[in-house]
Amino acid sequence: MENWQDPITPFIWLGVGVLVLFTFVIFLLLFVRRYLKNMRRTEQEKAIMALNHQKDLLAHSIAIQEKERSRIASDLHDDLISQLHRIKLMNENKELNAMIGESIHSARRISHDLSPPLLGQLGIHDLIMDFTEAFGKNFEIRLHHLDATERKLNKPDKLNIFRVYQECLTNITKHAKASIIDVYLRTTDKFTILSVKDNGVGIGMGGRKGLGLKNIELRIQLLKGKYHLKNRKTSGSTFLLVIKRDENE
Amino acid sequence: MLEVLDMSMWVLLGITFLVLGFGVLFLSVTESKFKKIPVIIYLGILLLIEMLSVVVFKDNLYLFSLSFFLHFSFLVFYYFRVMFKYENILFTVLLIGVGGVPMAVNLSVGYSTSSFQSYDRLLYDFIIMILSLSYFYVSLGRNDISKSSLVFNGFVLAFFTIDIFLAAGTNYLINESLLLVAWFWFFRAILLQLYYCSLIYHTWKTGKIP
Repeated sequence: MENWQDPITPFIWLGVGVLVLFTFVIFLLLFVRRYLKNMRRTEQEKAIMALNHQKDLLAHSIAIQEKERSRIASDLHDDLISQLHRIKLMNENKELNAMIGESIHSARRISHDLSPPLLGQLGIHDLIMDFTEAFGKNFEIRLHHLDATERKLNKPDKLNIFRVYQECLTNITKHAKASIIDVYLRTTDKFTILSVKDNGVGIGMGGRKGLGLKNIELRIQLLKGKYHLKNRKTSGSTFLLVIKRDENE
Repeated sequence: MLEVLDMSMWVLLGITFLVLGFGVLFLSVTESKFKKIPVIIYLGILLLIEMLSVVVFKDNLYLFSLSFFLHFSFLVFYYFRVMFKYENILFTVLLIGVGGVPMAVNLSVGYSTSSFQSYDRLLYDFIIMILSLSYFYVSLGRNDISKSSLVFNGFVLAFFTIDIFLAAGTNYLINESLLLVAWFWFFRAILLQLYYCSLIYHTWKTGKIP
């Protein structure tokens, strides 16, 4: 009798069939798992690429913004202020000269706001103190922890923090109706912390983000920082910015 | 009908000679032939086995074990060195060495045509199938896989998976009437030629056997 006629043979065939099918099923599951994993990884890579692209655009737009500010500031300083000086020299009317003097002062302030002249030389603390001086007439501004032992920040970071601070103060001036502003700034080896608190009625955005706040967010993204804004009608607004510093900075 | 089947068998055998002979000659004259030596040797030995099967027409079932050990040895080497680019030659040699055990056991137990089983072949087929599936699995995460590699691997998977079932039913296929079983042998022979062709094509395309 041939072996295939043995009753045990069909069981062997069945066993072989099941084993092969089982192997295929296992591999099929592994294939699907790997395929999904690859798909997820590709999606993740795409998202990272899109994010990087967005960051590049952001950095570029901020750079253009700064360049434009610098150009306007330079035009103001070199053209308008020079012309005003010339007019002042030619004019003999004292009253008019006083007004021209004020205009020169305003133009210079705007020019400095647009592009701080000693950005490279001054530290962030000095820049903030310098900028805050102009607001001293309207508010009581209390500066805390603005000591000179700050860790040096690089120029783009310094500029971005300064712009954020500028935007905060502008918002408070426009909306908060505050009388006291508390500014806290500290730069350590690991963090840079900026807090701006006022006693006004809040900077009332009504749940909608204005251009100023969007600008703040863009700059904070570039700084890789986090921020928190508490906006209350009864106790004023508090803006807190925390930037973790790179170890190799 | 039996005469037609018999003649068809001879025709298929002739095709096998042609394919293997062409493979050996073609790969011997193409560029970087030294890199293709393992494939040339493999095809050459298979050609010899086919010739031997004609010379020793009766009682040549042991050639199944021999040829499938050869398939196994070559494909283990080929997959590890060429397809997976696995550097550890010792492991490959060890695996091939251990792979010789089923053949030795099958040949040592002795057999007659009515009792012949091809379980060693079944085991070799199964391992080759796993290698082929693993290659598909690996290639899923890579984008540097050539088309010829996928075609070759596809034919390896098709032939050796189907051969698992045929190996399990070898006893039936060699003892039952030719009218019933010839179709299986034809089908297998055609798949085998396609596998050889895909190997020749892949080797010619890559020529990168270390």
